Amino acid sequence: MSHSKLKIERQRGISRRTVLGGMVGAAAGGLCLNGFAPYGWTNPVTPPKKRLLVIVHSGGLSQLESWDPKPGAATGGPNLAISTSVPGTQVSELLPHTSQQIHHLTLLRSLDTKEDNHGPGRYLMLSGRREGSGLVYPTLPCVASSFLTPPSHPLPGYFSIGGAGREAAFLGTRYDPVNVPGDKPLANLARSSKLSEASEVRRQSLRQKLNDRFTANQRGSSDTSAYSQSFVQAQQLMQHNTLFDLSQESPQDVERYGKHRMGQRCLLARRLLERGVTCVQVAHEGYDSHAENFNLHLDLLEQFDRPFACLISDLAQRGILDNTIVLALGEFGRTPNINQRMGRDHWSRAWSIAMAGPGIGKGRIFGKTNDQGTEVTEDPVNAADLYHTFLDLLDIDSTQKYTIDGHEDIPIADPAGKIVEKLIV
Amino acid sequence: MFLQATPDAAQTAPVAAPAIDPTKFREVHNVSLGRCLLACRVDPSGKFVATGGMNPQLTSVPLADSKFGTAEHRAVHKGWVAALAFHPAGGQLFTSDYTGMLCGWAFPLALETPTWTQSAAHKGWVRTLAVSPDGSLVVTGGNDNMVRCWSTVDGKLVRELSGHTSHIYALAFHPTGMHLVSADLRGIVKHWELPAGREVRELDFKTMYGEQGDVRLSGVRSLTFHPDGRLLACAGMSSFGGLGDGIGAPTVTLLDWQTGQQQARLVPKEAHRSFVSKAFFHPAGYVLAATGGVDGGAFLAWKLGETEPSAHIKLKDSAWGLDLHPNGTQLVCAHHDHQLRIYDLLPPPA
Amino acid sequence: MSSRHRVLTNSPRTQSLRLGTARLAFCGLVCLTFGLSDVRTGLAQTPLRQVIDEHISAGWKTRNVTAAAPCSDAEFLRRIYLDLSGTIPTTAATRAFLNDAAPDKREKLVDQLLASPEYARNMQLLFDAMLLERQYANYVTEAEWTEYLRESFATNKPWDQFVRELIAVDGTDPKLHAAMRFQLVRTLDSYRVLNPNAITRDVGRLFLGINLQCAQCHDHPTIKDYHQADYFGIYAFFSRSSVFMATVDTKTVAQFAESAEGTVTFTSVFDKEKKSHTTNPRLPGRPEITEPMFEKGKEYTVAPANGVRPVPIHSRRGELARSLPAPDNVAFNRNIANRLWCQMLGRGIVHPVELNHASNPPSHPELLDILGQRMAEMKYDIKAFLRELALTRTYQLSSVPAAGVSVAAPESFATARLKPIGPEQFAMTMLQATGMTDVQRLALGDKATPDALYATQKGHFPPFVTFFASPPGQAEGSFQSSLEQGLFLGNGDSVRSWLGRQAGNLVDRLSNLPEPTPVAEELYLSVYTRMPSPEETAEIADYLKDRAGDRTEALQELVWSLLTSTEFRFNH
Repeated sequence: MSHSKLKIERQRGISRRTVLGGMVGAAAGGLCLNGFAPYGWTNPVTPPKKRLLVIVHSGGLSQLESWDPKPGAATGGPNLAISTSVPGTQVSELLPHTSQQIHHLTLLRSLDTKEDNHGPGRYLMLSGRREGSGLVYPTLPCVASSFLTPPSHPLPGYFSIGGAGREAAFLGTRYDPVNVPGDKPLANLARSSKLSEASEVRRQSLRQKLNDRFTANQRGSSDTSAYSQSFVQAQQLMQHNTLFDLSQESPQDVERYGKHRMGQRCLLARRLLERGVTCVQVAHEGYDSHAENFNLHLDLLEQFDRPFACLISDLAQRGILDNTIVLALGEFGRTPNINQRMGRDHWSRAWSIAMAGPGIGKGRIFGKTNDQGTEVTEDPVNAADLYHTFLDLLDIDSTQKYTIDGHEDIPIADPAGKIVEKLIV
Repeated sequence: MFLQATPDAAQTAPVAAPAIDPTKFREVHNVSLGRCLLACRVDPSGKFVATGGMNPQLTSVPLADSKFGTAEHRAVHKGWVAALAFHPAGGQLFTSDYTGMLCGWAFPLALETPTWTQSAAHKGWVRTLAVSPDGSLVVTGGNDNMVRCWSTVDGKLVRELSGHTSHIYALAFHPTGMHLVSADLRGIVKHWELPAGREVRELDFKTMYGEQGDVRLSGVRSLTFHPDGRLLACAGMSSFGGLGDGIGAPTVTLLDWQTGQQQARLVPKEAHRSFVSKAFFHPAGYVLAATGGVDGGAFLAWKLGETEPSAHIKLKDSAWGLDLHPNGTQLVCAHHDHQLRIYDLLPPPA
Repeated sequence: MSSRHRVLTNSPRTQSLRLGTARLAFCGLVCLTFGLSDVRTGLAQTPLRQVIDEHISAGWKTRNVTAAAPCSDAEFLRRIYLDLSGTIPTTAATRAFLNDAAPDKREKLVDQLLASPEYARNMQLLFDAMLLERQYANYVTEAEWTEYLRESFATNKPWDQFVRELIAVDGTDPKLHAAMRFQLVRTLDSYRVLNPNAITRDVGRLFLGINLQCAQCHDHPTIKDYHQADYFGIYAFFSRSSVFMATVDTKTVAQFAESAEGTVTFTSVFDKEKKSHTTNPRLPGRPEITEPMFEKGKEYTVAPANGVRPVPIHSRRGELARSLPAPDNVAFNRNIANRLWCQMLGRGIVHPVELNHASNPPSHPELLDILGQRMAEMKYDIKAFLRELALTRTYQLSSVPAAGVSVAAPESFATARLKPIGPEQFAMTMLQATGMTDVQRLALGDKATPDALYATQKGHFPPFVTFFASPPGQAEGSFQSSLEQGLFLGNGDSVRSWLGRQAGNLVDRLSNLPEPTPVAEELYLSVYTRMPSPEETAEIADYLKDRAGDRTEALQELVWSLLTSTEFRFNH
């Protein structure tokens, strides 16, 4: 890739423990909100150059019921494969709407990640590391947000819809996701009905006055200003209380995406991306189909298919896909073998994810599995390499190291991994 | 005409009920058919078993002296074979699959192709079939939430019964032929009056339905009337634990057909996490059931009037299909481990 | 400097350190007392607090910095309360202390706080977060573990004994069963297998002040003191251990089992030849431990069998429990001295506290050596050590830097550091400031024991932990702020409900004061633990001037603004 990659030097105040000569200023320590216009704001001052949307199939989507169907194989399940918008490429019949958006996607069918447990599998896919090393690493959206969100951006860098996690690890809570339930308002976003706006303005201004007095006499630090900024930032998000308000979307769109939970989450993801948010993650839970795999995927993929197809099509149409990396992934795939509970178990040796966005092939199939879907036969990809590739696609140098406390060198991605150059176009 | 009561073999039995001893349940023969088997039926003459499962083949296996003969296969279906049913007088077999296809075959299978085919009887899976006691209608239930009645003669659509809001899982004719019941994923059983197709009432089996997050699970897996028409057995799973893991108790609920009141809830005494895949009344006064799931397959028998099972026997693998031989003393079972098995309900001859 | 010693009566262990008192004036303002720390040898040592202040002030000279002025009584009061009891004093206690004219009132306060039940609670909270990092574990409940911690600090269990218990515990002694949780949180997904990587890293970090994380796969790339062999030397102490489910009185309980077999080998990922190394257990900087050899089949006291917990004759964890917490282990001594120093001063002499190595030298190397050495000589008496720290001039400096000169680097300890208040402590502090603890005290009447009060406070911790604590598995390090904190304090139920007027709470007390000056005084004493300045009193009067119509709302605004201000958020 010819364009330069983001280096940590360009990343603002990377770590709570970063020592920048002991002079972490307010700009680095707190979130700069200079460009913020309190009312009538529509677009960020400096949009991020690259953005990220991750859809997590929590529990582990079956590749055979989705991206890599094997109709007719003993392992194939009862569903047929259908043609897609890309001649010669088929997906499961459980994805009728998505099948018409395949020309935007790369289907990566040759993942071999060798991690069959949920927690560690999810961690591996989102942090590019195996669990149990003793150190906890931040997830991709936190890392991406920390590099990509412009300092003047008026909104937090990472919203996780349906998530409830603290994912920033040593990057610090500043890069943790704002966890949005997706089907109900964000906790504590609304001002109490008993508190008048005038009262709020008075108490916030007094708070600021007290802070100014306390930090006179050189007592202020990056910590004191960061704390004060957390209230400013909260106030700003409160001004954007329509950010999460799906009633402002057209009834046609609400209908298109579906009024179920996943439909609403995907529509909210579109809304956030349209308003300039850097990283969005959408969780879709329930894929852990140890029993009743086929019945379960009927429901789950019906909920996933249409909103996902709408999202891809809308993002493409609105130009958002030109700067947004989209990943649809789970913690692993599911066993080709159908067990005695009509289920499929955890399977990381040969599975699939879908990707879209700049640098990612359109309508491309990458890698191949054998007839029964039990082994990767072409272009195997492991999780460490994939994580390097994700970073590279986001223009982040994947070979650099975090400097924590000015002493520890922690490679941003597993040093044993490398970018899968073939995967990037 | 729906008055002549000649239900299919699983739902009734010869007039003279043979004495059986479910505690003596034992395997007497088996044949491996190369894929997981999902359904099986014994033809009314007792000379064949028709079966299908996780490939598009329909298989007919001759049966004589408690032994299987050489299997014959027909590859007409487009997907997994989901359900089978015989004409009560024999001579015809009806089969459905996971692509929505319905076939009517002359039986025994003399020809390579069906007599008639409805390639899109439903949109999506057709999990269940039932034939009217007079043999005039074959009824199908689909993942399109529809119940459809077809002429057994030429496969023409006779009637469409709409009203369910989820996938149809089970069907059964009342022995009089005047009533049809259809059950769905959400545990709703609808009572239809025939021949008009009027919906009479809804029976609630929501205890056999569970939700996990946004996923609907379980459903009524089997419906059968007692030959005298006074009881309806409705089976599946209840008392759910982790549904995605298939945790729950295999359950048969007996319902008084007249009042709609629940008469008994039958579950095994020892936990055996699985679904009842098929349950029916044995004329000797038993409810017999086969299960499949987490703890593998089980054979369960309850004496009518009792709630503690008189037999609970672990099977070698999950059982997805079960039928009673016309002799009343043998069962044929379709297993997950590719085996079609014959079980005897009498002690071995001394 | 002169000192005069006065021998006191026989007293418990912690008190035995107060053998002598001496008056010693620094800058003519701060009164300090100090004691002899080595009564066993009978040698008169320079009191530790004096040694500390000498080293620190010598540092100011070499660094050419000007120290801040000594802190005021009010600053000291709030600081020592927060550091030792985890909360701020009641308004009454504040008034009493500020009005107390006794010259030794600070020393008396330190002793009072160290002897209080709140001290043990606060240490329990701090060490729980430090040792477990809010991670979940099976088999030992949180309640059992926290009670074990509380009890350990209440009885002032020596640090070496405490660490020995954490490492050697096998779960067979019901009294120590709770100590298993330290290792149980470091298990893998199945919760059955100890994760030797996590334990290795944490034993290094928590007990030796070295983070060998990056030496796991190869010698540390930039820290030349950290070797892969060090990592696997510690690893080898734990690699044979696992969780064993035993049946005791018909109940299933977890115990630790240890095998007599299993060799640790490692290869550097940078080694092209992939040369494999084998190691016995070894502490960093020491030789490998020579282990007794046993005939095959005779390695066990209790041999492994189905359903039997194997007990080897030579236990590797037992060996670690003997050799790690030992007076001759300099790194062990320095680590705990440095951690307690960091707890009180807001920054370690080695900082960060877990990165002790040649290229991150201590700011005051000699002092750190002395602190470690004294720690061992004091038999790892945590209370006595904290007491010495609290009574130094260094601890009792103002957080306002000296005027007219550039701000001194933090490692000079020339100014008191602003320390963010911990999540649970922040909740307790807010409850005290808003008067909600006083309301509880009233409601409980004569049942208002520290335990009963704590039980009511504990119920308010969860949102504070959610929004203010480091995520599970992350050390509580430096200050963290987030938008969600702002939303929580601004709009959340907790603070909002505490601002509602209830008989005896702060808003209620303020409402009952008609004049603005007493309002300002009560408000500042309750929230900031100090008297308002005339300027601040005038500001309050001005704020309330035209608010007769909505006075309660005005008072709530005032209390909220003080509560959410930086002066309240930090211990300064």
